[in-house]
Amino acid sequence: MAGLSDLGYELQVEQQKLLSRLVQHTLHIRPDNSEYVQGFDKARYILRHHPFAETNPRVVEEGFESLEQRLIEHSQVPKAKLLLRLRKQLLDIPLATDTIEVHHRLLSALWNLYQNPLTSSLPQHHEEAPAPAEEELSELSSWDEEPCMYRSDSGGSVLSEEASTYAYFEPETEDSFPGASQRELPEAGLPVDWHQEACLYTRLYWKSNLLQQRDQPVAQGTTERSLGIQVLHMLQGSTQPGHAFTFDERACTFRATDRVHVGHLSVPSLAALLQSFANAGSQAARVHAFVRRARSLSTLSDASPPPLHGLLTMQALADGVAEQLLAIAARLQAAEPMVHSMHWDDFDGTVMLNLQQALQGVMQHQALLDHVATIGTFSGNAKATVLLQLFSVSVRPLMNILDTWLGQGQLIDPTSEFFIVPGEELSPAYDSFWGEAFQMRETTSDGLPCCPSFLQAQAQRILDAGKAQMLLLHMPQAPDMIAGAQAAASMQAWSDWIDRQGHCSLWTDWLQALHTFLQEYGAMETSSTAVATDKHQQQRASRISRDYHAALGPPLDDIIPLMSSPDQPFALRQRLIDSSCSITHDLTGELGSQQGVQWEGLTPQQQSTAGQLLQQEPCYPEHADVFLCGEDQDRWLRDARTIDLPPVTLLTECCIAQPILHQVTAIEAELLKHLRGDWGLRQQLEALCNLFLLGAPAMQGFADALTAAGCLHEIPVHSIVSLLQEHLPCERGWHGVVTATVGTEKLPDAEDILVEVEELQTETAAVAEAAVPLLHVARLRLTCRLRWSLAAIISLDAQEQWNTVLSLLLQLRMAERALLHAVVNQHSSTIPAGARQGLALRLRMLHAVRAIHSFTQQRLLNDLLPATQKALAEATSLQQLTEVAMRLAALLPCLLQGNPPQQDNVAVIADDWERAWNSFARFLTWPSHFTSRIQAAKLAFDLGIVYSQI
Amino acid sequence: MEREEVSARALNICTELSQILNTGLDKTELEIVIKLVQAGEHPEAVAQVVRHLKQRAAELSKPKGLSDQLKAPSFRNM
Repeated sequence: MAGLSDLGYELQVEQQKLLSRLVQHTLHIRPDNSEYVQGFDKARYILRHHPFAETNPRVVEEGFESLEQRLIEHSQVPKAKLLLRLRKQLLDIPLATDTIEVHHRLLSALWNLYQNPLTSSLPQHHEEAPAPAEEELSELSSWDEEPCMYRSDSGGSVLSEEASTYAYFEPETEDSFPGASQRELPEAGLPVDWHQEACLYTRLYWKSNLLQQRDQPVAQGTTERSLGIQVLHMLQGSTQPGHAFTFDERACTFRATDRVHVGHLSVPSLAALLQSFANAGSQAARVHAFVRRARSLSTLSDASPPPLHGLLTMQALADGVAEQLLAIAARLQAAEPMVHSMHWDDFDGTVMLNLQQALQGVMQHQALLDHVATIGTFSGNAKATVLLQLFSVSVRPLMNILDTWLGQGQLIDPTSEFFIVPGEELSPAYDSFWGEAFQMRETTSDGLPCCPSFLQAQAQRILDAGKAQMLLLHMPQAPDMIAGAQAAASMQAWSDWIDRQGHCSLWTDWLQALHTFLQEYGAMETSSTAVATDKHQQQRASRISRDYHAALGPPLDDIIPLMSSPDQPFALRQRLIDSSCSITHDLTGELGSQQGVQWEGLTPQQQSTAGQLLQQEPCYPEHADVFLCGEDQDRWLRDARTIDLPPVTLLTECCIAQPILHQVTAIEAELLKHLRGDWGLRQQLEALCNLFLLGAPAMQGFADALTAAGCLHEIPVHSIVSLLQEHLPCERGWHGVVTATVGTEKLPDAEDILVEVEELQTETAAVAEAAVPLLHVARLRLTCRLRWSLAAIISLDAQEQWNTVLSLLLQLRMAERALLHAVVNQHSSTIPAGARQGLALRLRMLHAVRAIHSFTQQRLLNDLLPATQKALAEATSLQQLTEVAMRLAALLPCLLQGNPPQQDNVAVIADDWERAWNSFARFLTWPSHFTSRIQAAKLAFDLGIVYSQI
Repeated sequence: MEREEVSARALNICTELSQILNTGLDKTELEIVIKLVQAGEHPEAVAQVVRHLKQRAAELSKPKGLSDQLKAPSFRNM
């Protein structure tokens, strides 16, 4: 036993040495530094008293596998491969230790320290020479090594026989396409600018990370193939950001941007490719065509500039598809022997399971290809659909972040691209939560605005709404808090969002809103499959339309003919929108002239000189903001003749910003409802008022109970005094926590109201911990506890005023202490014994306390409380409610100050005043803003009368 | 394989893993972490210790200014 004990001691010493070394090295301090002692003790405490369960190797493995998958999705295949290989190598090393599962424990330690591995760089020697692929990743890496059953030159392949049928994928000659540097892009029927504008306007691409230039080796080879995979992921609706393409039209360079959500594809090329892919016939034919394309493009020299815009994009896309196909082939090949070797009479569950897994992968990849194949046939305008598809998918990450932020009050932003960033780690229970927990991020490191432009005006509301959501989730849950009759009745008019069943995500809303909007806009044919089946979505769709009418000006019916139909006669387009924020009616048609006037290239003024009669009407300012942008208007009108897509500004405003603002409004309404309802601010205010109403009714019971207890148990008076003093504050460093009954029918009993005062600690965490034992004050019956301080709800500007109110309240209690002290010290010798003693004490206390509070009570009951209640009842917005709270906070100290002391009034007091005044001179030590000499004198005088009666 | 060789290889592998995972550990810290885990300490607790120490180191490296003083209690003296 002694040996084991020694061994344990040695281990402990060794661990402490390691810990000491770690502390010194990390903090860069020597052991004689005071920080060292603290750090060492804390580290030792963590190691000894940690709450973690034993390491589960399976969980560790799953974590690393998910990370590897994530890296692959982010087109970081080399990193994923290396991670896998290193992990396996580590597991193979025979570490000399008695610790069980030490390999997984090591992995777990590293895993718990990782910080966004997506941004990490490969180790030095791995960047230059990527390691050969492991078996597990062969599907993604063996394209060049393994023979492919789909290769065009494999004459024996069944697929190759169909090659000639699909001539579209024959390599185009260079003459078919304009040169990269000199010639302009062919007119593809779709403005390339639309997509670029969409990306720029929504700022959904992220430039904070590297821009990989075409001439850099890292942008070639595997990376470009990975880009193709990423495009497929995006087309499939992947939420993960990845690489994207950008063709710089002026510099004629190809750029791959990391960590983006939008594929900056060469739109005409991609659209043509996808459309042709969709028309290519059977799945096998598509496969074959794509692989041929990939093979032909791979023969191009990397050093030469791209012969046409989009060629590399197509190559990458084709490579991506080819890899997916190869994966299918590999799985099918793996599954084939299983099928052949299976004896169907002898059912083998394991084989079936393996087969099922293999086929499941096949089905997934098949679905991916089907998706690509059908995207071009989504509607009549395949190109517009591709644009919209990419655009809608690109919005998804933003929607997801907003969804968790507005729906759950959580900020989940793994790629740090949201315009709200976490500040200090504060729980809503902290006073400083509202101001410091989350903050707005204005610009990125390279000066770009973080907030999408269409949300910039509402960014602060979105920030507040998320914080409010967190606050709401931390509020105490009462069963009738939401469904209370009073709340339902009073809140019905504000928002019907609160009582909606379930939570519909912004992403779903966005898709539905987009579809509905496009249908109403005329850009998309009404599809029976696209009709919303969910009742909520239907309501949402109709509301989007309604909101558009209400907020954006001219009804859609007037806009659609203008925008959507280039073939209609000009007379049908009766309205132009000019740059002077007015709608111009073209009355030419009404006057009988049906001759269409081409407006392309003409300004409204020029058109008016061409013989048209124009009549101007004022336009809605909001509408003007959406539609009019100077020269862009003419360009857009010109484009509108060839496409059915609405302008990006209109799309984002109506389909993205509006649903978000509805959500924000709903949260604000919900917060307002909570503040007004049970446990809400109104109750807090009323409770606070009631605290000040600790006058006669409440204090009578308090005094009765106190004196009765004193008489019953023959408690000496000084004990009662000390009992009171336990709950009275000292005079410096207050942190007030108001605890009160939330009953408004009558004044709460004295036992139900407690002003707990604690010394403010230097660390906020200590304050929170110190506030917890309030619930365990068994001597006083606590029926509820307000969870956050008042300053957390009202603005920070009003915090000082509230503190003043609390201070005054505490001074009331100090007055009690002073009163008792005075009574005990100066009159205890004259108090008769027995029952008379108790009665006398009770009477003295009652009268004194009444005198103390009568002034306050009168003011509150007659002036403040009715006015406050009326203002609260009439408040219909959070702003108004806050204003009422601030007004009350500003008013209370003034009321409590009372009239300023006037010597004339003092002189009127009878001679007894002098005697009583001296007896209660302690009251004069109260802060001048509460205790006027008049009040003190009145109190002393009244008490003196009581004494004389006794 | 010699024991030192095994340890060195494990350290090298862990260094590369650490780099990929972006843990921010230097070689000395990583070596201590490995030894602590090998000695039987809980890996998550070790990670928490490292995080705490790094956070503390960052705080110590900040210059103390008026902002600390402004965080004093705002309640008035009575």
